[in-house]
Amino acid sequence: MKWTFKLRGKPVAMTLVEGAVAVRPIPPPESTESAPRRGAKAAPRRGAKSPPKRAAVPAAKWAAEFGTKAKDDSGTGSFGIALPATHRKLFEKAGWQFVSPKPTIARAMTEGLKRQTAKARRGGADAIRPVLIDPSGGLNILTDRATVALPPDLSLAEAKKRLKRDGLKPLAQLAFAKNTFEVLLPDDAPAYESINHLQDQGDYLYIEPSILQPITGRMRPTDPRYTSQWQHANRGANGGVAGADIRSEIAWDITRGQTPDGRAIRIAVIDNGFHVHHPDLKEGIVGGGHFRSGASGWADFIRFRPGDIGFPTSNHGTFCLGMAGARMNNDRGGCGSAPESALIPIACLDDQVGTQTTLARAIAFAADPSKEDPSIPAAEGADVISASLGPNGPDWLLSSVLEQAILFATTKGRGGLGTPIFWAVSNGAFAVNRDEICSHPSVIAVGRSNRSDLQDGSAFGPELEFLAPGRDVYSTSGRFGFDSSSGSSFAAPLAAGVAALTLATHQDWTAAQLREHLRACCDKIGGVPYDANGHHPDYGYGRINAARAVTRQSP
Amino acid sequence: MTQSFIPRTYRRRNRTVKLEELGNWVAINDPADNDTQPAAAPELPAASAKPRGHAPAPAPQRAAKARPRAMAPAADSIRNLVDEAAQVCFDTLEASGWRFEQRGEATQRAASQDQAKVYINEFGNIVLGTNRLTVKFPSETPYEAAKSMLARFGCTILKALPFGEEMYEIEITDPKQGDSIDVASKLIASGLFEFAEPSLIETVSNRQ
Repeated sequence: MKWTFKLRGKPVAMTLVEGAVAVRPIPPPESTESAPRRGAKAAPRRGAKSPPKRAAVPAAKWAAEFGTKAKDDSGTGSFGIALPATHRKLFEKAGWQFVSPKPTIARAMTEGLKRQTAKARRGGADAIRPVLIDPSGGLNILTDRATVALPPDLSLAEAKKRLKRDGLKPLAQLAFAKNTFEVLLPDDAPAYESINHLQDQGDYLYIEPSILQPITGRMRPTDPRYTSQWQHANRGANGGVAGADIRSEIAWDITRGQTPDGRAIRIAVIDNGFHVHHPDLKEGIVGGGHFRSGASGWADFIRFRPGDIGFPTSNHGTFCLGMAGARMNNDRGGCGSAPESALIPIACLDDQVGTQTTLARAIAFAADPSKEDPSIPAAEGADVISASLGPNGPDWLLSSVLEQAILFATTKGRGGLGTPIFWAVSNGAFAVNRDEICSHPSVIAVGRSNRSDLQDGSAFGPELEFLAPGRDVYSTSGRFGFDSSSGSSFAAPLAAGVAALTLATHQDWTAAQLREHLRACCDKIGGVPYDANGHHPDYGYGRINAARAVTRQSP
Repeated sequence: MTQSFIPRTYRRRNRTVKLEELGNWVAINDPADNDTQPAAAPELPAASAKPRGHAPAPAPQRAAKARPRAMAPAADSIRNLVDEAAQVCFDTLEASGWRFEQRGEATQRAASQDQAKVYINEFGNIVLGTNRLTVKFPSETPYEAAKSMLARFGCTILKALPFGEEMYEIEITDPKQGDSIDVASKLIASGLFEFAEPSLIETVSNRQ
């Protein structure tokens, strides 16, 4: 059910999850002092007193009193609605449990706070609270309190009198603003009804619900050269514009490329070669292969297993792989946009000569490796594909066999959900449609932006999907090293990493849904007019935004 | 010597692609010249594909060291026939083991050398012909039927391409049928194929 209330005078709509409630059991006495509180803003305790100390509730009694505990972290679980697992875990660390309530509990949630408190105490808990999903998909818990401000010209006595009239019990007066109180809401109605009633009444400067929400420290990697990676967090150095970045740090608070149940999203990068033993990459590599071209035009496939030696090397491929998935917090270099993803380097045309059949096989292998090597399960295919290969110059003909592979990957990959393909557009200021691969409707064409959030001269046109940082970006290079370099080549894997972050939070999305979502989440940079569809020929749908991509709930 | 620029066309994704064949020239990939290159004939029946293991491959940086071949007189001559844009293609092809000779000189060499026709595509880039094509039959064409249809055109199936239904890499085993562009035209004209396109070797760089 939608619940709309006002924050700072503006309406906010949240979903009141009818199939779930949050319960906070009273911890056993010995653990009362050490009850974890990290990750969630703790609710103010009622009055100054500690809650009654009771023994932990046995599981059977728990079920009898409240209902069924959540078991899985993904999908709709037993609630009929997805509860964002990352947030859920934070609340659980803070002592909350999420329950599919038995009928008497569900009924109590509609009756009033007094009834809810009684039910909680009877079951060995100190609170049962409604669960909210906010517009960005975040998990919240509605408390029994509110913050209320009265006109400053009222005396304290007059203010308290008005609170009492409305059944509001002041718990604390907030010192930073006159006549502003933390109050307990009336106990004869659910909190959301009281808030609506009092806001509609209009007697307060404001009255806003106290909502528990996860507030974590912002993830900032400790990698020694991370500060060179303006693509993640641009702080305005070296002539850049602060904020002209893909908002990685906010996204990493939610995910770094793994699903809530710990599965690493798999990114295949197709390139001429890779330094697969690079210390900032090798931990992430889970598979891959080498299509070794011969003079006949045919390429032999050689499967790569982590630890194998002799893989074709290329600084370019190494740089691309690092843009997507270089590891985080390992005291080396910087990190990729999806630093906990699984990496699948696929080398083909390693001497930059070959047929499109080879490229087609590489793409099909990325999406479903069993098509090339039946000993590799289809499930080990990539969730996201990035390619930054292309001929010199803007023109490239697409062969039918390569088109077949593109269609195969984008419709049959990921068990039929489709594996999105990100492809770097030409670096020159040419029309994207001169390149039939990048302009294919099933390919996501990525151009490059610079540290001032401006387009950087890569190919343009209606087929351009969006931009990602690609000028003077910093990534892995060589056997052990790191470097700065420029090219749309590097924008594509960075964007592919953002796609991996997004799929980590929305595993069931199709490739088409993901694409639509990433478009919708772009920042409209450049100060240029975008058309009615939100597109500009030089900027596509804008510069990709990882934070919005992982927090917004569309489509 | 008069240079021969032969107009060629084939169908690719429902449109006609134009090429110019440099009729006086062949590209040669001689295993004796480059021990990292596998032996297989571009315009002749190729050896069957087999795994070769992970021997060090000619990565771009390493291959660039083999550039002295690019200074061969024959290569310089063919470079005079093409625009500046195609020079990069020659650089890349030569770095990967290809060299270019006048057809008369090349035919006097040992038959084991791999030879490929040289084309200029419509964008001015150099591409090489192979004796292979990719073809797709209509859905539910049985494998045996596909084989026998291809045999009528002097072709055999090398490998199924399993990411598309009834899609195969084939090679020309009867040289009398012509080169891969000739055969592609015949296959398309037969109406038996959803597509039939020559496998052309092209240079594909990266977008740094």
